[in-house]
Amino acid sequence: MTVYEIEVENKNKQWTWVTEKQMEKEYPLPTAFKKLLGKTKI
Amino acid sequence: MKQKLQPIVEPIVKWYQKQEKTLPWKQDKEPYHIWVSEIMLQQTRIEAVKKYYTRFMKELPTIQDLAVVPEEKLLKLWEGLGYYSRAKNLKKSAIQIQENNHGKMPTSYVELLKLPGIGEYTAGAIASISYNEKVPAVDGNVLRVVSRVLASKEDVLLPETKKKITNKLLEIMPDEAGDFNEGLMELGEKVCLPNTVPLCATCPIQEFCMANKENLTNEIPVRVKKQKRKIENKTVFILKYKNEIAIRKREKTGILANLYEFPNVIRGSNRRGNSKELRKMANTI
Ligand code: SF4
Repeated sequence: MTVYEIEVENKNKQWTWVTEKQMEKEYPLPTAFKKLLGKTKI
Repeated sequence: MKQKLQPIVEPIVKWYQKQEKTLPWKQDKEPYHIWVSEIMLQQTRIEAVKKYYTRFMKELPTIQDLAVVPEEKLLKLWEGLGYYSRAKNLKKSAIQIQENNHGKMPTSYVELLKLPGIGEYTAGAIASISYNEKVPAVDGNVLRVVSRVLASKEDVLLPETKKKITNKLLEIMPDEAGDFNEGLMELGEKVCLPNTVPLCATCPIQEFCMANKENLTNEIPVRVKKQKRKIENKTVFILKYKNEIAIRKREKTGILANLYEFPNVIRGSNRRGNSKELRKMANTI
């Protein structure tokens, strides 16, 4: 798996934008994805 | 369940007693012969085992000979059969028998189980065939025949199913335990065939067979293969805007349905990956 962490300049509406806190509380993420936060290769 | 299996005992014993016994290891009930043949047959076809068995017995006619055979010679006798740990375990067991049992094969299921390389099936086969001990010997053939007789849709690959069938057979073991076990196995080999239409019209237990009655012979035995793990190689994007992160909802169906994930694309098998998908993704950034 390759992970790119990118700071973007605009919020593309295609995605749902959430804070980490919201994500933790309201949006169920598979563990494999959760683990990626803060552990990116690039 | 006892009632359901009980009626098959007598016809199977009678049927087996009438079968021609041409295989070299079926000429007597000597435990050493049964043991070596059963170990050879574990992973190898009957036809292929014949010549190996005959040569093995010519070179090592007794347990004493097996216990002292040089490893190189033993492996040479096994050459081509594969799974060489089987041969090594035979020798280990022979040494154990020499040391602990004055060179005589143990005579009970429980004692046989203590020998290296002898599991429940082999112990059951030797104990029942050589000593008529009332213990089942459940191999793939037996699992198939019994599942069909009972029209059981339980997965025969599960150890629980094997245990249940073993227990059911244990309740009905006759005095002719060896003939019954060998009969069940041979019926599975010659009549109640796997992966094709069984020869029910010639089967001695047809009238007691539920799968035959209910037309289920092609569905039974049930074998649920474990699904192979699918490993997906992905390129994942953690897109951040100030303190927010982009996620998306997964499909409504399939694995991890309706959960959220970071935008990602599955990498192609070539070195450059899935460039078209990646380009599409780049356009959203
Ligand atoms: S009747 Fe057919 S399915 Fe049933 S045990 Fe005999 S061969 Fe197998």
